Amino acid sequence: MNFGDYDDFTQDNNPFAGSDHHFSNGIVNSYEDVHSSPLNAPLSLSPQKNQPLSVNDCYTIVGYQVLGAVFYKIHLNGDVNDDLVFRRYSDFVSLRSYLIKFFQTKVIPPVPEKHSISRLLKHPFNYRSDKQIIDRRIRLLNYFLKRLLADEEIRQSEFVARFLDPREKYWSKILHGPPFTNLSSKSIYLTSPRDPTTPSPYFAFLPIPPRGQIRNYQSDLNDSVFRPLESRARKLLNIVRRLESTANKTIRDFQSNREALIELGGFFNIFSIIEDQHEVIEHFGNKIDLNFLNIEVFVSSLTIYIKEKLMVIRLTLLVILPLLHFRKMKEVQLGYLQDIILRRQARLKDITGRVLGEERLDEVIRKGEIQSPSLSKAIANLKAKRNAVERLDEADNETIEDSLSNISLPQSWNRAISASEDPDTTTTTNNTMGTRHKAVDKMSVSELQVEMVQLSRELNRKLIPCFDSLTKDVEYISIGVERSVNAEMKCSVKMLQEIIGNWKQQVFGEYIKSCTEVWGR
Amino acid sequence: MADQFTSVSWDKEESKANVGEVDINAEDSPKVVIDSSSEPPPLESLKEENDQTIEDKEDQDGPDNESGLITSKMVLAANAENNAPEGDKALDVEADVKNVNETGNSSESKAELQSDYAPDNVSGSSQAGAFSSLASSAPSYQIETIVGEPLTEHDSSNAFVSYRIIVKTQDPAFPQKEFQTRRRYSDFFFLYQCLMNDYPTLLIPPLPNKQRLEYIKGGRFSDEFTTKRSISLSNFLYRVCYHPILQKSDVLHIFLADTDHWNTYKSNLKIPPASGLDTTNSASQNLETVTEFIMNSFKKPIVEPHDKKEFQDIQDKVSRLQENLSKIDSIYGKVLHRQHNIADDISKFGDEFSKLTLLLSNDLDGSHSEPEDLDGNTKRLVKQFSDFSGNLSEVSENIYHLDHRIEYNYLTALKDLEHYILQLKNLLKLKDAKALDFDMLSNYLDKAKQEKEHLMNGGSITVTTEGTLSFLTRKLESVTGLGSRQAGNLTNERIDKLDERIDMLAKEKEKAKKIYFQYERDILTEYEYFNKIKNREIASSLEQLGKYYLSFYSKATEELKKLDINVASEAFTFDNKLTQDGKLFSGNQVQKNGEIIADDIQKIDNMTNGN
Repeated sequence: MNFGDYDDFTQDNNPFAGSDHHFSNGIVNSYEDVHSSPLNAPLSLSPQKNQPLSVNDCYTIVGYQVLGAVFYKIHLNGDVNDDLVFRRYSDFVSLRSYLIKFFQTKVIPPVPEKHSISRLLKHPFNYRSDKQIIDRRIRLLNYFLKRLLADEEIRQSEFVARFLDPREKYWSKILHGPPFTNLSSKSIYLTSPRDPTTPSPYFAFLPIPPRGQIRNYQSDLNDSVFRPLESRARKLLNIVRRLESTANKTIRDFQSNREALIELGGFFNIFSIIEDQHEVIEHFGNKIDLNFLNIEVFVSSLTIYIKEKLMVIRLTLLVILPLLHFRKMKEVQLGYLQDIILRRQARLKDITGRVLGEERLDEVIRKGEIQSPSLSKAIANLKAKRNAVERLDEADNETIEDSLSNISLPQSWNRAISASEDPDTTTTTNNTMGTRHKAVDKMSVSELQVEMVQLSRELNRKLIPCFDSLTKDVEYISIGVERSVNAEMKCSVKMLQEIIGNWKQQVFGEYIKSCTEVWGR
Repeated sequence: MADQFTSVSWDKEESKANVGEVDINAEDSPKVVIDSSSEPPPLESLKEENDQTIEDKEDQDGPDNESGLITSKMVLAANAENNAPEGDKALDVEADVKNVNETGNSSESKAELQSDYAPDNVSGSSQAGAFSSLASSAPSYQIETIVGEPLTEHDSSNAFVSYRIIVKTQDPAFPQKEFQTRRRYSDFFFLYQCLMNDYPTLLIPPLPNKQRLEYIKGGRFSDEFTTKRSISLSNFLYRVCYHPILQKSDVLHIFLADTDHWNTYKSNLKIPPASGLDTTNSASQNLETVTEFIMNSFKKPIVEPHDKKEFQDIQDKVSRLQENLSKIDSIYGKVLHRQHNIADDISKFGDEFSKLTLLLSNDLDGSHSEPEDLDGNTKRLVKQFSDFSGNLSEVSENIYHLDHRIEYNYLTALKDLEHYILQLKNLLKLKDAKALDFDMLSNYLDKAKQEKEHLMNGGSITVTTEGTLSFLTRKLESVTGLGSRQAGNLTNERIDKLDERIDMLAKEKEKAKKIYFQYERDILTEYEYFNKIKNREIASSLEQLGKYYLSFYSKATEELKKLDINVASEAFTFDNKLTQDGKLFSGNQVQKNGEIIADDIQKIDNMTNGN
């Protein structure tokens, strides 16, 4: 998985895309409502309330069954008498893809990778390699389950509860109902990480920043915290990749060495027969044979205890990096929105300044002559200017309508605006956009006042709450992401330590022990 | 061809009661009494070509045995068509017989000569006495030798490599029970040549090639080359010392113990280095070409060995063994290559692991933080990772070392064993050649007898009978000075001549038979020795190999024990910099602007409302 894949979430063709979620009513919801709703509140909407899983519950995959496709059998606490849950590999994958959207700051543990096409072509009907793949998947899916259930929030979520519910026979059917359809938008950038299920009106105004933005993006937050985090993850990824490929190569080399040893053992046996059962040779041949059996054991434990651990670390890092990317994108999104707001605010400031000036002028005019010749001259100039503007305004009135089509804002922004369900706002926004190009000095007082009202309404009602909400989101994401990334990195370090331990004990230790026994005889 | 010479010189020696002995050589000639080796030396072309100095003596003792000479010439004549130049050397050969005998071979070691040696001895009398007592009392003592420690030395003109030989023995023939000496390859080669000359019917262990192809890559003075060679030389000496006959040979004893004499002999019998290019000595190769020539004319020996099946068995067994050994050799090479790859992998894995330590420093701002700056937990982690990495590179080093030991010791031993087998096969071929000699002579004899019968029965010499006589016979006649045409006319004279010839052939035939049987007998005992040595070698090399593996694994176990895996990881964390209550985006521009604008709008509202 890489960034490209991750970005695909924005174009995900989700089964419930365009389905009837409650997005439309959301626009009037107050910000406070969004904030106060607990994370798993929407879960209570579902008809079938599950008991939350307890910490002690231990779900493991104990085997598989082939019923047209491979189904993995999940047991609770290894209790075979309990009802079994049958899930396919693709069910795990889809569960995971939902969890990513619903728990945006968490590192959702990885599921094993898909088979590569080349492997499939190489061994189309190879039962043994199939079994190997399935066994490996069982191990890695067990890791996935274990890590998933270790997270309190996730464990108590209904997604997991239903995934592990033996009454739910068909996973794909569950996907068509809540809570899975509760996601407020199909794009991960247009949902709130604090509560992705509750639609917030303000996300209607969220721009999706253009890709190019991220390249030159700089912020103190990013530079001080997340860039080091990312570079650490990347370095670790590079090392782990090399470690994994070295482990693979070691496995291959041991396997080919094993083949050579089998051959060698065979020739030593022939040798012992030629030499009239020469005992020494026979013993030696047997030792060689035992040695290659040891290698077989060694290779499989190397695969399970080291190579697959490295694979898990690598896959986890491949989850971490997109998470960091996602956070960065959120920050970029925030910056982009801020730019837009600042531009509007600047204009609004100009306008309010002008309106204030006009008001003061009017005041002066109403009060009559002022006792200063120079100030009187300033007032006369202002009057002349105002008249000129009014004449110009009349002349330009027709061309304003034409310029409406030349909107300089990005498409997504425009779409987000027009997608909103408030016809009143939409039309006025369009009007203001039309006049926005007009220099503030050249606008008439009435125009100024209209735009001032529109702009301040837009800012205060939409953009600024949206901005505040996004700021909180980014804050939430940043804190959450840092926490979970650091925790996950620590976990990786721990796994690396485990690898050392495994090497010493199950893998190389065992190998050496049995080899010493063989050769010590 | 050399074989015919052998028989010839044999006669000569017998008739010639050991005349012109040269003083310096006298001491070593008659030391060992060995029944099975009472064979005369073969005349190797090598010697023929190189020992020109001795040729002077030819005049004195050359013509003392005519029959032998004639026989040799006869046989030579047989080859004259194809091998003309060799005929010229017939006389040289005579001289060389003597030469070889003088230079310390034991072919003369007959009981009657044994008493004569002592008075002639000047320099090494006490030693020689010791040797002789050894030879007669003759219990077998084990001589253990180890060749090692190759050292590049320089003499006046060239650099050479010498090898240390450590000798341990209970044999009283040696001055000490344990001593060491240094010899260079040419010394070994000289020893080998002498042994080949002295014991032609025995299986002399082969020397490592002077230059094997795989040796070339590192150069003559590279460690790899000299180490492998020293191991091969060690194997060679081991075989010689384990062989019950060779172990008692004077040449060996001098080689091992008496540097002064050794150097004297060696310098007086210069063996050009070029001649050593082959493992299977040039003599036997020369022999092979001759044998092949004879083979072509006679196809198969008619004379059956006494134990035909036994020889066939030997041949088969040895061939199978050889095949198997070369298979094992090549597969082991493969195994080693892969082990080498594994070692590479493991060391690479360790390297990557050591890089992980960089990641453990908490502030990854690109700068590398010094180990001292890290806190205790991180330090422990870093240490654990680097220890692991160190352990892996240790493992990898040990695998390289194991590979190295296997390659240098076991694979070299395998190759040496293959050479030994080759040597045995050559000996078997030599035996077959002897059988052919015998066949050939019987053939001549039969024909001569037939002819005589024919003549006695009054038949004249017809073209057809003449035709049945081989080309060789006619040649022989021309040599003896009797034209065949002439002889045809004088029947009686011819019958006389034929009688003479028949006598001679019968004698030669007997001799050839004797030699052949000698070979046959010797080969059987030699094969026994070979088997013993071979079994011992196989067993000891495998035992050694097992020890290598064991030491590798136990060393790895020791190393692994040192690895600490109980480093608590709980205390280690990557610190979070952001906190829940910390204001990440407080006081931003949007808010400030918002306040200003709200203020302005408030003012406007106030003004408009005020009106």
